Amino acid sequence: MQAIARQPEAYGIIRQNMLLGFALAEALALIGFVVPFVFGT
Amino acid sequence: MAFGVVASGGPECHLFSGCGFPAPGAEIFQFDAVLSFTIGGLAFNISKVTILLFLAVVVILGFFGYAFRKPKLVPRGAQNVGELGYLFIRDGIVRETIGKGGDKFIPFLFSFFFLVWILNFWGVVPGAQLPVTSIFAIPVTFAIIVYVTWVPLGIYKQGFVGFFKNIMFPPGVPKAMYILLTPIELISNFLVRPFTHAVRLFANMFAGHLLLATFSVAAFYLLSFSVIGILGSAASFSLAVLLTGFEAFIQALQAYIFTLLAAVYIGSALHAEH
Repeated sequence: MQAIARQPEAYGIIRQNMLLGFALAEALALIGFVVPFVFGT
Repeated sequence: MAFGVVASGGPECHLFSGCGFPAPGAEIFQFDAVLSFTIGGLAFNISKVTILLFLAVVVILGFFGYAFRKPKLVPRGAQNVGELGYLFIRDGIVRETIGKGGDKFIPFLFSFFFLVWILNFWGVVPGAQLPVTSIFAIPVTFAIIVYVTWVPLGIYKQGFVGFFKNIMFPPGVPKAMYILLTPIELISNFLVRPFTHAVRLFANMFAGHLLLATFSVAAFYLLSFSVIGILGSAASFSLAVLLTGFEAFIQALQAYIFTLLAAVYIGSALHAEH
């Protein structure tokens, strides 16, 4: 948010990198959630 | 099998009727073939998944074929929407990750974005209600297509030695760090990357669909003439509705992220990091 406020013209790139970081971090949690379903019994 | 979620506990299965909560599991992603046939020794089993997959292709071809049937300089109606989608891919994804040289890849990434999005979107369409990408084979196929695109592309653009050198020995690092860094970069770029690319999409859709199924089953199961039953059922039902909206957002986001990552990989193949 601060980065966007400081440099509004870079909004596109900042948003894109934020979403990318969100996706990379979220994937690990979701793998943990899904693996027991896939490999359990 | 379409009614299998509720039927897993039977239509009479409610709270206080003596049966446990029929929690949905991985079995809600398995479908019986509607149609089976063999062509030249290859067995084809057409199930709900296959039908939705083909339907997605028909929807995309139909919409964009209609939108651009008679393209005009000043777009109107469906052509506006089609151009908006194109500009989103070009300015939002390709130009920012690959740069101007990436315009060649717009058709590739455009197809990926809309195919993944529509396949995800079946998850909230009444009647379909199955995100096709929650069947692991489909995101795996997509990830393999992206992988066999960017690896040969990098070898072609940077040369075999240059491509591997740029990935295994990123510049600007103290020499001694390469002992640690090279194996990590090698594994993370060539083994973990395609795997997480597929699993991210699959796991999101799988988890989201399971969540919706759980609350839908809970709303049905808790429905009984008691305070806790009515309250719990109403709460589960409203959560299921709310989460459907949330899932619609996640589906678009995951399609965007899948395409964005594909663009980042292609960009990294086109020009080396510096």
